Amino acid sequence: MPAARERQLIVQVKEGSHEAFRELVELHMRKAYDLAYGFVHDHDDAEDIAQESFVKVFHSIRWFREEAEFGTWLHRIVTNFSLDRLKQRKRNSARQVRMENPQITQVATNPGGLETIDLAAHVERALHELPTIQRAVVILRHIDGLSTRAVSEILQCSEGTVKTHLHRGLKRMRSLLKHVKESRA
Amino acid sequence: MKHREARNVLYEYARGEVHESARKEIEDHLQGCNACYAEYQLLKEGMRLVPSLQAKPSDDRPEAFWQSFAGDVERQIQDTNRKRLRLASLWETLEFFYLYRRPYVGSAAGGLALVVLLLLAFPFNSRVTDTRDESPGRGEDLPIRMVREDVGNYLRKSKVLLVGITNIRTDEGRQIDLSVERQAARQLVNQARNFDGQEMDERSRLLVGALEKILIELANMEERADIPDVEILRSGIRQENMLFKIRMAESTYNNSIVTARQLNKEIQQ
Repeated sequence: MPAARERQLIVQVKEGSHEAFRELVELHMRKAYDLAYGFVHDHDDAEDIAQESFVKVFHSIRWFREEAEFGTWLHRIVTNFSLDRLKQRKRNSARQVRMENPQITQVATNPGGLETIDLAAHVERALHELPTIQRAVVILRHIDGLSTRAVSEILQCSEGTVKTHLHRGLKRMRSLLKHVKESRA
Repeated sequence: MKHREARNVLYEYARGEVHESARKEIEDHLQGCNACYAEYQLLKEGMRLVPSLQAKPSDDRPEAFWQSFAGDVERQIQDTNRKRLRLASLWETLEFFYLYRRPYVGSAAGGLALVVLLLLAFPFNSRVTDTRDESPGRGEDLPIRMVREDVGNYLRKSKVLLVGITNIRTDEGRQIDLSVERQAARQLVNQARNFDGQEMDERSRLLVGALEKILIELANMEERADIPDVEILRSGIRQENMLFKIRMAESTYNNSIVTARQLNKEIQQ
């Protein structure tokens, strides 16, 4: 979508246009949903977070500076809601998927059954084994492909911190998925 | 390129995001630096595994979900707007009362302050007092704090009683009136029975046991006791080193210091 059209929509939303807001939501809803899902790994939670994020956008858009990148701003909102949700889950002692999951063991001990096991599911589980900040950086920088600067703005940390966590996160992912990789080899 | 600089852009290099001139420099560095090369390999391996995630979770949702998504967001916005309106109208009502009905606002504020003061004046701790006022039967579970206080009180009274016994003059050669001491001893023996089954450290339990024997002996003495009987009782107190043990135990129970006169009065009551 052309940036000019996006800016036009933002101006219209600021003026109170619901049609423009609806169009803006439809443009970004899948991206927001995917980002939220990357954090929370749950469709219902991702839906809640994506919707809450757009409600926040609607109420806060008057503070949004038009020269800034709307996508980055939305990313920050979704990331913040997602991190809040993860904290809330931790408080509620929600179920955590451990790497000692039977499926992983099955991969390690039974390579013949590998075809039936979805590698992507293992990767998702490994991703959720990462500490929150590492997970956030890997999702935003590596999977979503945002620039290091954009990620540092979203997470409100330095670019050096983003790089450090990215390296650590990817290396940890590698070690967590070692068994899967070996079995595939 | 310096080691630190190269390490800083390894990820970008692995992703093919660095400029051609920088790429050559990094490659040169990687050939000569084992640490950076190892780091690069680890990163590449990690990156190779993670892209398999790139299937979009949003694709798992049916098209109908996405068609209604924007509408759902708008409904949520309307809900939040309604809440905000309710808050705004509440604020306006308060403002109206403040501006045009000040006497009412003053009365309400005064009433509220009075209620707060009353609540502060009568804290909800009466339950503790009530529990203390109850006299639990033998063997009933008492709160530990109560047991400690009761034991302390028991030891204090016993000490005064035993001090009184040891100070009785026996050189006049006549019978001694022990009616008050006997009564006090009976009360203390009864009091000691409440400690059965309650939590108490071993040393205190032994002390209460030994003390009970002496008190029972005192309670069973004749009202007008002969001097030898009193001497036997005294020797029992001395042999057990009872007064010293009581003083030591008292410090554990942190009893307040009370004068002997007050204690005598208490015992007589």
